[in-house]
Amino acid sequence: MQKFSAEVIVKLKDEIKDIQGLCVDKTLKRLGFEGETNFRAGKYYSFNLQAKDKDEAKEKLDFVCNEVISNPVVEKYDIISFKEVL
Amino acid sequence: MKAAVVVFLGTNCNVETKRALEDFGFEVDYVDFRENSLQKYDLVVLPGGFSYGDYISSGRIAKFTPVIDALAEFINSQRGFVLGICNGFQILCEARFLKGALIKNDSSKFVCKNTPLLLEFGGNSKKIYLPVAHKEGKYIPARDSCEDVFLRYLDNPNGSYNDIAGIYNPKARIMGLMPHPERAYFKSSFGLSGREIFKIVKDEIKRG
Repeated sequence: MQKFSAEVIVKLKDEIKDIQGLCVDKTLKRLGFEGETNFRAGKYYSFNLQAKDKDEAKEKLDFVCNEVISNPVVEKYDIISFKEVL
Repeated sequence: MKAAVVVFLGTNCNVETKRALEDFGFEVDYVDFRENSLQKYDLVVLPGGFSYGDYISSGRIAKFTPVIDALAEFINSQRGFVLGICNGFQILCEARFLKGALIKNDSSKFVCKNTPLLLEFGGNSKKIYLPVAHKEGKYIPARDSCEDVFLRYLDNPNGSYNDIAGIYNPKARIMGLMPHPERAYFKSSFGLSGREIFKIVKDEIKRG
């Protein structure tokens, strides 16, 4: 078995109103920031996976991303790192 | 009629839900989240609470329990009726038994109050009051389609799309709502409007 590590960021889809982001936008405006700050908040996850090869690890990663840490109806995710741990 | 009230780790509305159902004439069992068959019941209720601490998102972890596989079998075999209240509704959406998702309220606060609602079912419409108690109750429909809406907020407490408070899939006989009918059932609680919801459930079970 090989061991892999992954880091994923989950955020609301662009068309879904991000309450945290709007709140920070307002605060930045009050602090004198000019222009649209377009603040969006997300959640960061990191975890390890064991699999017989990279393909199987990718399958497991997709499962975790789509079923465990995000809901595709309202959220999207970015895999910011996915590599074998040596 | 036999009803199951499913208890996950963190469920906390099971007692009042069971009492209300018993008062309404159901024979009720608590069913543990490890249960792997629900076939002997006519009604399965997922009550409110904070299953698995609402970690990651409300209802997310609960969908990976054995009882959810049993619920899939219950639904596929068209054995009976499924009702999800509050956290139960969130679990039904997360497990994709109902379409759409429930996200954080627009106020980003936990809202807990008696709320006016419009109940529209079977051609009748009626104003009722039911208590809500949630932080993630803003309903967002799936892009492709929406289930039938039978309950709408008259004073939207959470920013829910189109004031949606409750949806129903009549084909699969799955109903989900954010307000708590079991908290408006006895004289000592928030009015008696909760009975209207349980009556619909009972009538739908009888209709078969």
